[in-house]
Amino acid sequence: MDYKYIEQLLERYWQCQTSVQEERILRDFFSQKEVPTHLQRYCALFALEKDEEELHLGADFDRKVLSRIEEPVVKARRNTIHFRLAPFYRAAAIVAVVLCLGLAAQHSFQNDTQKPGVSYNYAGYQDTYSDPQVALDQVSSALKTVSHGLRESGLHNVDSALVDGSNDDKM
Amino acid sequence: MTRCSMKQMFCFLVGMLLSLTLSAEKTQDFVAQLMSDLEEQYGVDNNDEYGCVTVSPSMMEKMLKMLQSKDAKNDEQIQRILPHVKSMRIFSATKHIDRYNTAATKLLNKNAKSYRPFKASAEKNMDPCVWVRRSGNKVIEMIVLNRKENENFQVINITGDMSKSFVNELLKM
Repeated sequence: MDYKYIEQLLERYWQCQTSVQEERILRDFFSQKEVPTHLQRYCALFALEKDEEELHLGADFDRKVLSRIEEPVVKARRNTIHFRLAPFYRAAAIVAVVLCLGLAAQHSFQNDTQKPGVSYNYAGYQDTYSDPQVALDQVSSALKTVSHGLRESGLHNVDSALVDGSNDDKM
Repeated sequence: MTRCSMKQMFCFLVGMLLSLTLSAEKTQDFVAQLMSDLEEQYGVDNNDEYGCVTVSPSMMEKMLKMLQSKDAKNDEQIQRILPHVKSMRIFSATKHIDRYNTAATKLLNKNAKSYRPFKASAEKNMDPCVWVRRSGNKVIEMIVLNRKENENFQVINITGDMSKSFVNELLKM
């Protein structure tokens, strides 16, 4: 039997020049029971190709793959204004807590005389005199009494005692 | 933390802050407190047994303007003092001197957190007659108890910004 044609096909096969039809001829040839001895070494190769050609994806292949790669469906959620402002609420609450604690600490550690921001209710003042000159006389006289009182208290020359509190009696 | 409780907590904290801010005091001066105490205790009013002279901040301004418009060298010292004084109240009594003196001293001691006696020497065994109230490092109120035995009793109450220079000028009077 002349195997020249098969050998030519094989030669083209090694050079990757065979068509699909030619490769099928080769596979059919090598799947026969009787193959010449010098060509038998190629039987295994073409038998393998034939086996692989017969492999097919199962019916449930698509379902299995898709179930692995498809992302779970996430329903869109509408964010309310409260939800969006939540971080600001949290930040404001933290600031408020810190301020409250600071003010409370300041409030408790300071005694009344050191508290800044004491303001008098001048709205309730009703002048006794309507004439500034009469008021001035009264004020001058009172200031002289105050001056006398300070001297009585032992303050004869200027020092910072009255202002910085160093001369206070501790109570 | 749920959204609702977070909102409630936020409102609560804001409320606390506001209340602390609003607690910045609007206080009465000492003589005003003394007179309301006396009214409560003895049921006497201003025109009965004691009198009170009030010079308001607006009158102080008028006085200062009047002084500045006058060309009087004698008033230079008072011109230097008055800008430090915001208001003045003078309480005076000629009857029941002891009662009012005791009431005033009691009230000062009761408000010991606000008013501190000023005495140059602690060894002096006398009742303090000058009391001061501070705000921070500044003297903002000065009270002088002036008692003339069997004559009269006066409480001079000055509010303002009383600095070292103010005391300096006052001592020269």
